[in-house]
Amino acid sequence: MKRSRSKTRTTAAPSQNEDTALAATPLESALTALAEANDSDAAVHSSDQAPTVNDSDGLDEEEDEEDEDDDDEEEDDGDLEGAEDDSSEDSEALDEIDPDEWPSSDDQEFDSDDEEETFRDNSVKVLRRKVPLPEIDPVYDPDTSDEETTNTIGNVPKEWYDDFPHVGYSIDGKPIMKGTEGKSDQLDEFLSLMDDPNAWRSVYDKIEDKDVVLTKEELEMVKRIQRGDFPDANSNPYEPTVEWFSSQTMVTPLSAAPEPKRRFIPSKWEARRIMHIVRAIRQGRIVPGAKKPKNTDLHNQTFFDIWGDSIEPVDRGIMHIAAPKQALPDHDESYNPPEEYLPTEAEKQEWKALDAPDRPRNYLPKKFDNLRSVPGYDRFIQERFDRCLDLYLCPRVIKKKMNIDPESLIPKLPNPRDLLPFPSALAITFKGHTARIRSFSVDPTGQYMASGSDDQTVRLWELVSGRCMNTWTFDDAIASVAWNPSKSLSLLSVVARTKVHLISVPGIAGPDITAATEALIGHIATLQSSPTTAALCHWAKTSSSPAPSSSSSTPLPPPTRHSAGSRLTLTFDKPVTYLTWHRKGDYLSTVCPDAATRSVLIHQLTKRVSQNPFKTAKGLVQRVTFHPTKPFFFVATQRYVRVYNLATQKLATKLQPSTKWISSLAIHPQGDNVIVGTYDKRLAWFDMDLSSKPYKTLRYHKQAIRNVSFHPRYPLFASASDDGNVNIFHGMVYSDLLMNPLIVPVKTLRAHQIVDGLGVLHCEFHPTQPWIISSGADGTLNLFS
Amino acid sequence: MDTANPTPAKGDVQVQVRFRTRQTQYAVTDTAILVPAKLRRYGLSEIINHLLDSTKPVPFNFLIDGKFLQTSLNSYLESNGLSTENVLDIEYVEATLPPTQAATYEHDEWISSVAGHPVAPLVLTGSYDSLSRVWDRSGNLKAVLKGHDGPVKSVAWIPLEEATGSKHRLLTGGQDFKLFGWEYTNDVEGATTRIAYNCVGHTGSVDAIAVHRSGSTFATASYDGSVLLWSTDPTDVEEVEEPRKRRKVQGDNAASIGSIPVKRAIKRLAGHVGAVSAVTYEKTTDVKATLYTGGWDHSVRGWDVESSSNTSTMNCEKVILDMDHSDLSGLLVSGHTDNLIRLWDPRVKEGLVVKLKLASHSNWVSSVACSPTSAYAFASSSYDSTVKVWDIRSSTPLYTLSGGDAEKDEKVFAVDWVGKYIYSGGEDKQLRTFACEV
Repeated sequence: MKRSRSKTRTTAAPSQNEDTALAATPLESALTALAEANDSDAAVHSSDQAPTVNDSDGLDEEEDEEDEDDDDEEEDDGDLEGAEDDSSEDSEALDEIDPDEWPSSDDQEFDSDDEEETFRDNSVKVLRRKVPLPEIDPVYDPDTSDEETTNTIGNVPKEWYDDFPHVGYSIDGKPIMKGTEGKSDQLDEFLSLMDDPNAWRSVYDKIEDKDVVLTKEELEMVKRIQRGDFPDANSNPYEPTVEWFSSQTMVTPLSAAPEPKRRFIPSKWEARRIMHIVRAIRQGRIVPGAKKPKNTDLHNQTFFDIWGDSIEPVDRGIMHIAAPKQALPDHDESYNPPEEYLPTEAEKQEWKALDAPDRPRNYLPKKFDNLRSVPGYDRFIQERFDRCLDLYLCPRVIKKKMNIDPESLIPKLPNPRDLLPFPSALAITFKGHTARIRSFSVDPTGQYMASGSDDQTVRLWELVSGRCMNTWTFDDAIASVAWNPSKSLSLLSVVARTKVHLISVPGIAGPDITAATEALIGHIATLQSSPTTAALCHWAKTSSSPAPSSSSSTPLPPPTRHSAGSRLTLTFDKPVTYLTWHRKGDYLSTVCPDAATRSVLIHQLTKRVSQNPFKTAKGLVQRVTFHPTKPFFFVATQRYVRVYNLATQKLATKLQPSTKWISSLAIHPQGDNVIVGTYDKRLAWFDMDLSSKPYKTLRYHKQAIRNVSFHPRYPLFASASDDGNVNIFHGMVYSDLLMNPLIVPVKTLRAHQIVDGLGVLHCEFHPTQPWIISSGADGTLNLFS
Repeated sequence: MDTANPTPAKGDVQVQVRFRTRQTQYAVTDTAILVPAKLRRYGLSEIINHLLDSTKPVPFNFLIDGKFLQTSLNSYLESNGLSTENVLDIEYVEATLPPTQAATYEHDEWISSVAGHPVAPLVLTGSYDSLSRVWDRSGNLKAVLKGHDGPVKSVAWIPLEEATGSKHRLLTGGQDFKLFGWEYTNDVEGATTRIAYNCVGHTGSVDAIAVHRSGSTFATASYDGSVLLWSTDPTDVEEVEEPRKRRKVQGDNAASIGSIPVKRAIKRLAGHVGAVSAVTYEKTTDVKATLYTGGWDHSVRGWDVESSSNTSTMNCEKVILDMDHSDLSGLLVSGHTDNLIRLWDPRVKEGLVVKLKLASHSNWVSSVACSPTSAYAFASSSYDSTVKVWDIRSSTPLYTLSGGDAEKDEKVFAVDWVGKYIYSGGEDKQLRTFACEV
């Protein structure tokens, strides 16, 4: 950098001193110098440094006029502030360079160089100017420059053909004979000159070696040249000038060249300021690199107003949180408070009686006669500590709070009041069982109910009165009770451990229905069981009266007690946990989870056939259900619900509630929606048309869900749980397939006492009314209406 | 002073009242008199007694605008936004004494239905032990009617011309779908009963029986959804020679059943969807008396008996458990599973047919019975083990009677009001009789 700087100086300076005539302005000269510098410096200067160089050069001019010793060229690359910040080394360099070292004005070689440079510059300028040439007219023109020569030898010395009879070759390769044959000597030449009238205007053509007769126009041209005129008669040297480059700005500039640097005019005022600084440095007023002295001027200094009310003025940014303010001292903290602030004895006692954190103030106002007798401030340490604690614990970060209306997050659900009717109040309690009631079933007409309990009894109740109509006693706890859904039968199925009893319930149906039921059971008894059936379970008919041995331990029967009814018993190897009927009442399915591959069996009543639909065990089977309308069969294992198509005997769907243990399963009466209750407190609603994943998962229970149930007519479903509650939901399924089911929780019924961690064990809706019945571990059944 | 700005000295506020009564023996002066507004029923009663100069004070009840005054005059004015400067028209009636429990008759089993004889001092009960019993008012069990195989769900007397005599006829319907017509004779040597006919037709339990005031026809409602009309004429039967085989189970009373004539229904009224649980006749001797039925399909239907067509259908939201018609007020009273008693005006063809809803029971209202003498009073029984006596001019029941042990949730299934007696029966296995002056 330094090298280039000095070079610039050495080359540029002479032009300034000498060439005011050539470079009329300092700018011109500076540009010239720059061009020189650029040439010699191999473009070391960056483009934005260059104007600065010119700038300083321009300054030099002024300095020269003021007849000052100028060494400020050193500043050429520095900006205005740079003058102050320059190192002392630089300033030394400044001092070393004496103005006398500048090249003298009579250094001629520089001068001529400069002139040449300037000319070259000008020529460049001329070349750049594009003169519009006239169009070439394709008429006869005396100009022969474009005439083709017949001789093709090119530009070779003529002497080479001196010894030949020809002067060259035509385009066809034939020799062109010399035209001077016969003019062997000067005399012949002279004679022919004399003879030829055109000789005076003939010109000898060396290449062709012949005389060419000039035309009249050519002669004219020769004459004009001889006169010193333009060869072309049409050329006018005095054409009016066209101001191509004027001060007028054209929309489309003639030249796309950037503004040349020589047009730059340095600011006079900036130069003045710089000179001011330079002078200051020279006089030692400014010491570059020296540290700024501290401002000791009290008037200009800013002080923090510690007595001011506001401590806001310092802007610490948006996120700044001011430290908590300390409370100002009160009147009663004075050493000499007014009398009304002094506590009475009673108040003092009260203050002392309180615990320290409960006291409204942590001091007692005291009065001193004078300031002198005020003792040391005993609360100082505590107060400082508290203050530090305040500052330590104060919030430092502004937490962004989400300003969301919590109401808006709640889905818009209809008011439960608009969704009436649904069961809401306890109406009837059915008392009689002495142990937990695991299962019950409402008969298809909705008039009676049968419940099976761990006390090994099954009771028949009249629903609207809560009257126990009949009691059957079995040898084992009752796991499941289900009525045959056919209205033309009064058949009750009871699961007592490994046995499934099908009981024709007497006295609740008309004689024809009773007879039909009896006949069905009797008919079965006459059939021989096939060997395949026998392998799965054993069918046997029990005599109707007197009461069979299994019910011999019936306690004192009520006076209205009917005969026990005839029975059919299916005996299995393993305990049966669940039983369900097909809607037509001919098929029933039983679940024995322990029986591995034979866990799910389907029995046909009329043919007395049992079959095992599944060859392999898919898991611990919890529940099975028949589809209400289609030939589908739902098998709920511990984790999944598999839906089998009974017609094609294939797996149709596999529902994945993504829970750990399914407890129960219910199918919407229309058949497209399934609810699954789980032991991990969740209820999953599946829309079978939608996905095998739950459409909604509801968690409203605190304990495991024991049973779920759909209402056959009203848009209601319910879940019963071990927390003793039965939750009623409004579950509207629209016939429009585009609309998702509407699920609204409407009521929580506190149904049963929790006994040994078990609450409600079963729940079922009344077939026609919006009532729900629940059975619990406390041995009661409750009807809610 | 106006009501919006009650005076501080509340006790001193006086209000002008004008007393009137329909009981002429208690009539007082027609001029308006100033009485303290703080007075309640008792104070007003004292004023009337003072005006009457009666030696023995008579208690009165007071009605303003057809509603019983149950608070002080002041609070009545405030709640109704009336000025104390208005003249209040107060009607007064002699207050009745609360019903007193007269007697209880022990049964072996729950009582499902009760019917008091309209003339004779007899009460008929149906019980869950499949027996029906006839009691006289002094507590003697006059007769036990054996015939049903299941609980007796409904009983009714048939009013006869010669009802004062010793011969009566009655009806029992049971859960075993059977409906028997009985003949009850009370001779010197004792009461004898005989099944006059066996009404065959129902395929569900017979839950309600209504007998026409003239005693010529009766209607039954069953759980199977049918309403059947029958003639009471004991001669209009088919003779059946062979007794039903099932009857043998009963053993001891097989002889009394013997061969029972079978009666067929005259008409079948079809319309209800689901069980029919209540049936009642318009209480006139007119043959064209409308029949009203109520059922589990939440509707009350009026039937033109002659054409057996459904003339009116009124719907509510809940199951109707029982219904009664009052001939004096022309209103239907019904008990529901939403613990309400609804009063229907069947004469209204448009708009709100439910005239009034009365809420006080805390469980299902199992049965209702209108007072035979008062146009306003009726009794209701509920599963909350109470029997309540209502006056439709008051939104709260006049009296609450115990129909069972509330601790044990003993339900009351039936109530009947005949003459001055209210009978109730239920889970406590007792027929309770209350003497009521209303």
